Amino acid sequence: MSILTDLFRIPKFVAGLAIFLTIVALGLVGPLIYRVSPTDIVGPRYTPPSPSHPLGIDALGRDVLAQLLYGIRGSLLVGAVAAGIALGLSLFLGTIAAVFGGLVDKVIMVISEVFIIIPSLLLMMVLAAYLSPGARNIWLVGFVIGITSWGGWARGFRSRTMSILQSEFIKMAILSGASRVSIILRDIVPIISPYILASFAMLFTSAITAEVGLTIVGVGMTKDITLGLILYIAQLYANITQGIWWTVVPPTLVMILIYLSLYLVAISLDEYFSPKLGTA
Amino acid sequence: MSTILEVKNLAKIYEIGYIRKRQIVAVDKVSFSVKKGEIISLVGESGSGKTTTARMILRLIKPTSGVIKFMGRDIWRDLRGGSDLRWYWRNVNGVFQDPFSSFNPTHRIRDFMYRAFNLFNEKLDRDTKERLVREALQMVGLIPDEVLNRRPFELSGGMRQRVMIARIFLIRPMLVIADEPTSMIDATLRLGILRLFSKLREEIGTTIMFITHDMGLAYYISDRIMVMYRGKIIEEGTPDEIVNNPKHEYTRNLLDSIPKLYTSWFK
Amino acid sequence: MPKINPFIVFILKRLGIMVLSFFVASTIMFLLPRIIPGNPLAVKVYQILQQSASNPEMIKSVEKMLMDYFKLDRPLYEQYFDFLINLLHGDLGKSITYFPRTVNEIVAMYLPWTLALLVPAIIASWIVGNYVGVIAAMNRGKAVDKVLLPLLAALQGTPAYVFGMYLVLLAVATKWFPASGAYSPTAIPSLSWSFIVDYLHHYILPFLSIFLTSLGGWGLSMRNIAIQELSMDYMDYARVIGISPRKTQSYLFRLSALPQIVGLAIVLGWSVAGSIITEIIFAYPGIGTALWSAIQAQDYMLIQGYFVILIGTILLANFISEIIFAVVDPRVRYAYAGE
Ligand SMILES: Nc1ncnc2c1ncn2[C@@H]1O[C@H](COP(=O)(O)OP(=O)(O)OP(=O)(O)O)[C@@H](O)[C@H]1O
Ligand SMILES: [Mg+2]
Repeated sequence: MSILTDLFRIPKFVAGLAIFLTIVALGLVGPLIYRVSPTDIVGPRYTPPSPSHPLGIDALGRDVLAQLLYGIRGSLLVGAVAAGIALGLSLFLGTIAAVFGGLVDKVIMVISEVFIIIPSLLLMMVLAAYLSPGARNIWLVGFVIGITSWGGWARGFRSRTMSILQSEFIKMAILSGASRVSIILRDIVPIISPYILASFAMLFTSAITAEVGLTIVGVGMTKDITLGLILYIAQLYANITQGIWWTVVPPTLVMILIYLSLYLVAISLDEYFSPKLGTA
Repeated sequence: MSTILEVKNLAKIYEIGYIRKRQIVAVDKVSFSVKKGEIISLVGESGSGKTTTARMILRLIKPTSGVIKFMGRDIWRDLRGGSDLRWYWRNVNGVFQDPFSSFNPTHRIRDFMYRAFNLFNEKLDRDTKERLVREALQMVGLIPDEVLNRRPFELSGGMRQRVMIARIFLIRPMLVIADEPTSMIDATLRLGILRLFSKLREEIGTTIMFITHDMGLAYYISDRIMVMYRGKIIEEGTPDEIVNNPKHEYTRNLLDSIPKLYTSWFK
Repeated sequence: MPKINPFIVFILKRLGIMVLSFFVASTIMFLLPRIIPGNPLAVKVYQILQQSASNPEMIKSVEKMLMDYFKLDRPLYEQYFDFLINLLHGDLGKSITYFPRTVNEIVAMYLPWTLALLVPAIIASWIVGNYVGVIAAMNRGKAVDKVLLPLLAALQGTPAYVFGMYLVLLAVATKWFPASGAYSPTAIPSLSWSFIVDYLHHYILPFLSIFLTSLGGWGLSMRNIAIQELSMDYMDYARVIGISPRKTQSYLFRLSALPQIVGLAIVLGWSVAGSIITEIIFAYPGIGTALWSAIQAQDYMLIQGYFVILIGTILLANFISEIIFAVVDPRVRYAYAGE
């Protein structure tokens, strides 16, 4: 546990984690405390922030703070689903490619290259053109972002695994009869675990950004409230050009904070572990 | 004495360079055999192909050509599937040069030792395993309670090398390939490590192939010495034959470079 | 076995990857609507027929076009074959909302506006970003770097469209710049002086939002490359023999610009897709905004057309950047020449 106490001595890490956990708490606990429904019409549209509606009212007469709290929850869920899928795929395929080599490696590398090139926007465009709007929920959007964003990370995991495979201790493991699966799970994964955590953080924030982008373009979320959907509505009703800032600034601010906090966490993990383990 | 390992025309050629290929002949058609119970040394300067030979015998890298036969079985052609490989490594195992990089930094010494049970066909319960591991550590002069829960970076280089040899005591293979096991540890600890190899042979009857660049060391411990130079074995004989009557120019140079002190600090 | 020039092998491999990616992307595009239960493509075509056009004659001609193009009554493999042939011929069909104009015509109408915005903004940010990166690298760990590094990271992390939104809010609040469009609603696009001034006035904000956000990425990657170059022996040598810092700086800039050129090709390829949202925010009449209206209008033909164009530019940019890399990097070039 000394690693944790060490990490907690790095100001960047602490600051990043604190901001991120605050946002997570807002999304999880916020709606339980601020008990206003995000879909009810609560007053005249475009009422500016006031004590009764701290972030004002949006184009459809709904409470913006309630929207924001549910939106954070939705966006975090999209991030978790997409990052989970992308991390699972990239870790699995990257390590398998490195450890098995040969044809397996070649095939996985070509597939990953294709997935690096095909952006999720294009896949979403096709889906959006056909799926009924009601079908585009958190799971679907998260899934599409997830399966289109693993390519680059798979290459990262592969090259880290390859450099670890050169180590003597891998040869020792082979001489101890360790299977390739055991080498992946017991030798490689523990060593690259800081990198895994860092990549999860980066995948998480880029998924949240991607959802916002997809939804603003009109091919993303339609069903569940996310930061993207709030901004989509704001854009659809030309809030920005009317100077109605309270539907635009809060969700974008949260996005930026999520990015900055996770970026801080990721780089402090990387800086802390990379020199230590030499191989990483 | 019967032959347990036979190497014939073994060669390894590395291709380097991504676009413009260049070939390095690391091992050049080497042939020799190892007899049961002997300590045979492979001596040569840096880059002469010793490690490459060892790794091929340990079945860690594939030879470019040639045959390695252990107990009559061609290890690159006759061993198929996991159980054959486990049988082979149960009988032929190794000790490496670098006590630092031979351990996964995230594993405890216990994990390192327990992993060798993969090679065992017999099903052992947890208590038996623990007992065997502890016995093996005691064999090499370590106190099990002091090392089992430590991670490698909490131990000194000499202790780690002892743990590696303890692993051999646990596996009890017929043949051990020891690739410069003493070259990276403190000079004052070398003798202790060398004694462990003698102990291995006396108590378990292990055959040992000892790889070193140090002719003095080879002379001190071996029954037989092979001299390797630029991928080829250029000379072979008992230590006395080699020292008293070197046939090859290169061997003579190696002998000249032995510090005169050597013999005295070994005894 | 005859020896093939490795440079040609390399190019063929990259070409193979490009073709494969295009094939995968277009197969996804073809297959998805047809394998989703209930065949949404057929449903969609039917819906479009009912909604899009008002006069019966137009309905008839749109219907005929869609039937001709999709051939939904034919077996799947035949449809697929036809689909690929059409793509390869560059025949993307006709728009539904702008019927009877072809998708190609509509793309050709919007693309110049997008390029006029993107190319200058990205090249400007490339040049400035590289300078800033070299300056940060040369002052590594000093005050300048400590200010520049987080600034560049923040710029890189902020999506261009968020920047765009804030700039529009600012424009609305201050009334310094027009907040939307590429020119005033009353102006007519022409090469007259007054139109150009009007255009530039509208141009500044979208330009800034793309320029600033891509600045971060260029600055950071240049800083990394330059730091690596600085650690090389010849840089110590330059210092020892007393080459002035100014000279070192320009030398460093030239050395490190090499990999950045490759990056430029990739970014230019992605930029059309990447700036869709920025265009939407500024209601700038380029590909992005056009795509947005096509999605709102569910003009499937246009969506499919944009899809092909976007994926095509991305693939091509990837391919070109790989080739530039091989040609420009002296190490790779020497290796080829030495064969
Ligand atoms: N993976 C590899 N790729 C290319 N060349 C290699 C590789 N491994 C070894 N070599 C080359 O093969 C030759 C023999 O190397 P090897 O490690 O077997 O020598 P050695 O006798 O063990 O030397 P040392 O005393 O330094 O350990 C050397 O020239 C080395 O550079
Ligand atoms: Mg060696």
